[in-house]
Amino acid sequence: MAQGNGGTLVEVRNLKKYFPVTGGVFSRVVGHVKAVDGVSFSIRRGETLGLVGESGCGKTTTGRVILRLLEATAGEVLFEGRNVFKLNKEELRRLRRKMQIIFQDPYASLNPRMPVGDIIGEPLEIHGVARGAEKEKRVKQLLEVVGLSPFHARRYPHEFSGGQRQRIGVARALALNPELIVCDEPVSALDVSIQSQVINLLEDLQKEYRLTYLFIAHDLSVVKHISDRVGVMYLGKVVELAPEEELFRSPLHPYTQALLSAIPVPNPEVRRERIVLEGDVPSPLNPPPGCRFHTRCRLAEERCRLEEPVFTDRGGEHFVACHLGAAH
Amino acid sequence: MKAADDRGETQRAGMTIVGETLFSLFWKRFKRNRLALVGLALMILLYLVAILAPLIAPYDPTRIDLRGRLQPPSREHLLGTDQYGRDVLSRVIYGARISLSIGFVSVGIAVSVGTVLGSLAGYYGGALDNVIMRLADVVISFPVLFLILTVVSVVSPSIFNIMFVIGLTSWPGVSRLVRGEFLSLRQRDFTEAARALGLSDSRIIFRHILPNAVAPIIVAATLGVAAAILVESALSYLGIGVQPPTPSWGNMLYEGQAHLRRAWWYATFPGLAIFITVMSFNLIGDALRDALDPRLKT
Repeated sequence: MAQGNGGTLVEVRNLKKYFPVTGGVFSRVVGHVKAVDGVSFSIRRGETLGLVGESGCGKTTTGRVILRLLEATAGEVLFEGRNVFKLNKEELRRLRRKMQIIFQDPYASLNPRMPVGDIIGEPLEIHGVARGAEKEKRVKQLLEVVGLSPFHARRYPHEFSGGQRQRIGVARALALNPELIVCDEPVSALDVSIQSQVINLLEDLQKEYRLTYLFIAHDLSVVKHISDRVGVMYLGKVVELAPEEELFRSPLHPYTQALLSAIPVPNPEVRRERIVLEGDVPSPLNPPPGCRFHTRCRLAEERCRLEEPVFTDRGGEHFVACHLGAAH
Repeated sequence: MKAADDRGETQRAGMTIVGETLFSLFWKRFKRNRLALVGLALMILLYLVAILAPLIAPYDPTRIDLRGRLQPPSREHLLGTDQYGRDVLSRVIYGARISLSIGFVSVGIAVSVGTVLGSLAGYYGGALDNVIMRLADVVISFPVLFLILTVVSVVSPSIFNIMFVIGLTSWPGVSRLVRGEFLSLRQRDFTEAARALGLSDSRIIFRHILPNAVAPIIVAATLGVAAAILVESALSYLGIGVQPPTPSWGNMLYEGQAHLRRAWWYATFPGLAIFITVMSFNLIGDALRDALDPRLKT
């Protein structure tokens, strides 16, 4: 676990991404899915920021919007102080060298018609980093860095196992020496035995190349292991953000408390209280007013239904958006 | 060869994965379909006949011999002669050149136009997609035969015009197919990865998406050849296709039907040629569809 040193690498401010929903004969816009609805956080150079939440809470969308693979609806993302959304095509292309992504599904993220050497070598060529023999040398290096063999360059993706494919994905992301890598659930499609290998690889690489990770996952134990700080998302918003130890020791938001109580404990003797959430996540098409969690919160008060809680620091960089326990 | 030495290296590395190229996998599946192998053999034979026509045709296909009119099949004329005493076998052989080249060129046109338009529509979506697909609807809604009748009455019915008209009216099928493939492939993670790496749109389209959409295009093209040959035969039969004395299966069929009672061989053999050709392309097309289906493994 590399501690964050140096300043802020990425600053996300009030980020929103709405997907229009169309209906009727003339495809009128009848509503918006508010996938990400006002998210703010920053990522420090060299740290790993974990982002957790259940399916559909907007964590993947957040990652894609930061990389500008999806266009944001509102808000801004500053990468080394420059607004990513204001860049023109050429500037964006140059910035792509500095931020990369690793995908969840290692079967879908590699082009099945391309040999591995081309998959990893293509970015080098496109950005004019290396060509010909030099490119091949670099590809072989990268394969070794991620724990594969240089002769694998001539193989096609279907000849590899899931874990090996994920390593290829990591090598591709590393090819351009990026600063930031968005890891979009990089291990949730892998066998548990393979998960730890890939996690360890990511940690080693972070130390070696001083990488910064935005680590998106729904598996809390993985996030706890790799993150320096953790953000919890619910229905398009970050509800709590704190250093890893702090968050797991004393979660403040009722949603975080419920999530943490769901982590299995590898000891059958231990009896503990599990907070079981009732009902489903409300539709992001029409999120509840006030605090978004009030429909499922066991501590909800009148105020929670009316007023949206502000995301505030409760000391020690422990941010939370909840009325309960806040100073009135 | 490459696969073999890959395998060698694998063994050296002590791993169990057997290097198998996509092509060898495809061939293994294609081979299982006996009918398709028959079709493939027939297709190769037809192309050889067409290419080598001057060498294998026993007579000049346009040589008239008024004393030997409507002769039944014999040792001199294996498939008999027509009403001008021309050798039917030679004319069927030369007719293969016309039919196959029309099939080939018009499908080439249809596939090129359809692939480009379908790619653009599927990749960019939105207004461009709408314009292209409505254009495809318009073209598809024309009855092809009548459109060609109209075109041919304006310009001369030469073989090139026929190729162009068939090609330019049969692209919508291909473009719809390609568009559909693009719609699903552009959502895939490897396309996202390519965008995240800063690749240009054209590189993503041609290097990443199109190679994955090739299978259905090949199937459509193979079946398209059969359809184009049928259209040409129909046109020539109606007298607006390839003009005599150039032999085409369609115009031989037309001329032969007048003599059907006295000379059954005259119309039968060109008809049989059309049947065999269309059938072999359809058999190959069906087998390709099965063999290239990514959902089937091994």
